[in-house]
Order: sequence, then C-alpha cells, then structure tokens
Amino acid sequence: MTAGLDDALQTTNRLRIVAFLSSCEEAEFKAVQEHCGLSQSNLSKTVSSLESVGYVAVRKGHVGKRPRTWLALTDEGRKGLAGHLAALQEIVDTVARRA
Amino acid sequence: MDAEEARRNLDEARQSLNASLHPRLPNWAPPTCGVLLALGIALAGYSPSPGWLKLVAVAAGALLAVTAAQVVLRIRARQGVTGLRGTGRQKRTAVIASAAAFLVCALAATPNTRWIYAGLGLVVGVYTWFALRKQARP
Repeated sequence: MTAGLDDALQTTNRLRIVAFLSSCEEAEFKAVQEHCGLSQSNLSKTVSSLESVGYVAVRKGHVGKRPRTWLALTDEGRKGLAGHLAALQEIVDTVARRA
Repeated sequence: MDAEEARRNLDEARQSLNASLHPRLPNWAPPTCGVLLALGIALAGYSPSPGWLKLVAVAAGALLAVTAAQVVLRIRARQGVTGLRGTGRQKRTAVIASAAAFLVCALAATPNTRWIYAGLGLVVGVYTWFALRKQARP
C-alpha cells in the first residue's frame, strides 16, 4: 500500500460510492446503484463495509408505502476521501515532476 | 500504486462527484432554464416607473432565476439525490453572491440601460441552455 492512501477506499467501487455521496447531503440507494452499475447485493455488501468503518451512514424509511434506503457520507468519510484524493494527486504529481 | 492507476482513480472520483452534482436532465429542462434566466435578467433590468413597479420587476426577475435553479434541483431530487455538500455548496454560495450583486445593480438600472440587461439576459440564457444541454439525455 502507498503511504497516505486509505485502505477503505482502495477499490474502485468504494471510491465511486464515496465520491458520489461527497457532493450531496443524501442519496437514495437506487441512485447510487444506477451510477455505479452494481447489483443490489453487491452494493449492499460494499455499503455495509463502508458503514462498518464509519464512512457511510444508512437511513431506512418509507416514501408512501414503499421502503427506501438513503445513504450519506459521514464527516469521517469526508476526511477519508479528502486524504485519499490528496494521496492519489501526490502520486501523480511526483511522477510528473520526475519526468 | 503507480501513477497511471492513481490518475484513473482520480478520474473515477471526479466523474462520480460530477454525476452526483449534475443530474441527467430531460430535454425540456435546458431551454426552460435558459429562457427563465434570460427573462429574469431582462425583467430585473427593465426599470419601469414608478419606483414600486421597479421593485416588483426586480423581485419578479429574481423569482424567475430562483425558479430556473429549482427546476434543476427538483429533477436532481426526483432522481434520489438531495442537498449540496463540498464543491457544490461552494458553487452555490458563489452564485448567490453574484446574484445578490446583480440585484443591487438592477435596482440602479434606468430606462436607458434596459437594453444592456436585455442583451445580458440573452447571453446568459443562451449560455445556460448550451451548458445544461450537456447534461440532457441523448
């Protein structure tokens, strides 16, 4: 692992989910699923792992009679994403400086 | 992680962030927002007399601009994404500050300058239309 990179955001799907949630207060499960192109079960597993490290908060409720799930990025997740993106940028910049 | 993978990950993150910020729009939304903004700016700078009518024109112009913004935000909310955080919130603050400055200028408009506001409205309306068209469904 490269220094500064966040272990919880090493896979593309996790990074996509967290980045998608970073510019909104809340997003419906289905909206995140459509963006990431994941199956419901895959997204559920990925969200559970992000929830377990405290990066994503999950809220369940109803719209009318239909059950819905909303996802939101926590402050911890926001810090994690900022640090991870800074580390990625650092890698790109370091190589560009050497070239 | 090598630089190429890091660049790919950064691109993925940027695309996801943009997808959350800029909803896919139905084809009617870009022209609607463009026309609403153009009318709003032209109306705010129309400067009719007496003074109270001028205030009404500026307020109506502001209302049209807010409606244009609400069209996009409502579509985004219907797609399941609500609220603005991070860069989206910073952009919103910048837009609100610019709109407030514009409204103060519009209050000082005279009948002689109404054509300037009409022209400005046209430019902003066309720009908005074309900018939002990139988000419209193919």
